[in-house]
Amino acid sequence: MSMARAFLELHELDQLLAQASDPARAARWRKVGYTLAAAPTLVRDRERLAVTLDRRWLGVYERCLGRYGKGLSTVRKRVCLGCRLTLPTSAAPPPGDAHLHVCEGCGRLLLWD
Amino acid sequence: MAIAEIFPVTDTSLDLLELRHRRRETALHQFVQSALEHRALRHPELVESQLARRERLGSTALGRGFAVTGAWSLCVRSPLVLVGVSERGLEWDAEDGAPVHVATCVLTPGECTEDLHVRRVTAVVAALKLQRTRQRLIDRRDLAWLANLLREVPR
Ligand SMILES: [Zn+2]
Repeated sequence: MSMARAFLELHELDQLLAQASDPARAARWRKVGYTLAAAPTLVRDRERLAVTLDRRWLGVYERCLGRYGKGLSTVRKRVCLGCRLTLPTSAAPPPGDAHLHVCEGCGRLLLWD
Repeated sequence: MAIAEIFPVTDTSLDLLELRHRRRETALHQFVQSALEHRALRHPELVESQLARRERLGSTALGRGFAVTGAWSLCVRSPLVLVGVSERGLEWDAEDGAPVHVATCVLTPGECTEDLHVRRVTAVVAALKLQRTRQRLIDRRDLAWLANLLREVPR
């Protein structure tokens, strides 16, 4: 599993956990008709995944997660969809490259389309 | 696993499926495979795992044979609503214990706001909340009628 794919999974898990743990978000879902409960097994999934990740990149991700609610952003046509900064052509990874990159604008980890 | 498409796709943001198996996990797999055929996903295995994990926060069955699951995810490339019907019913761990006959999967790209995803799910729940509406869907399998029913779902 590439590191970018692992951070994507972490991001997805964090967003899911926030649906249940953030009172405002959970309340919206309950209004639709769902019963949401804390899921300790999901927290364990997150812990298991996090220990496999590079600590430096995890630090970058978690700082942005704390600051913006998301530690990862997608890139479309060289634009970071997190902060709308147009990234320089040189910032694009070579095709097939699964390495991690950081947005110069917002500092989030980038997921190139 | 084969996906039975009841009607050819006319609207690329909506599809109607026959859910042929009894288990919720199999239905989630069918939804993901269908979304993949619509080219609406990247990393389908992550989406499938996300849908399964969502069920661990609490069943997405809303009672009386109806379930609405979904994902607001960076793995979703384009918005898609998949509606599955099952004559026999699926085990979905519903609070009322009823088997699910109509299950819907609402997929919203992670680049959209969560607010949009909640509004899409809410619109799907509202459109299919009446049992007689769902029964008509099971009886007729009419994609054009379904598309009209779901016309208020924001994109
Ligand atoms: Zn950015």
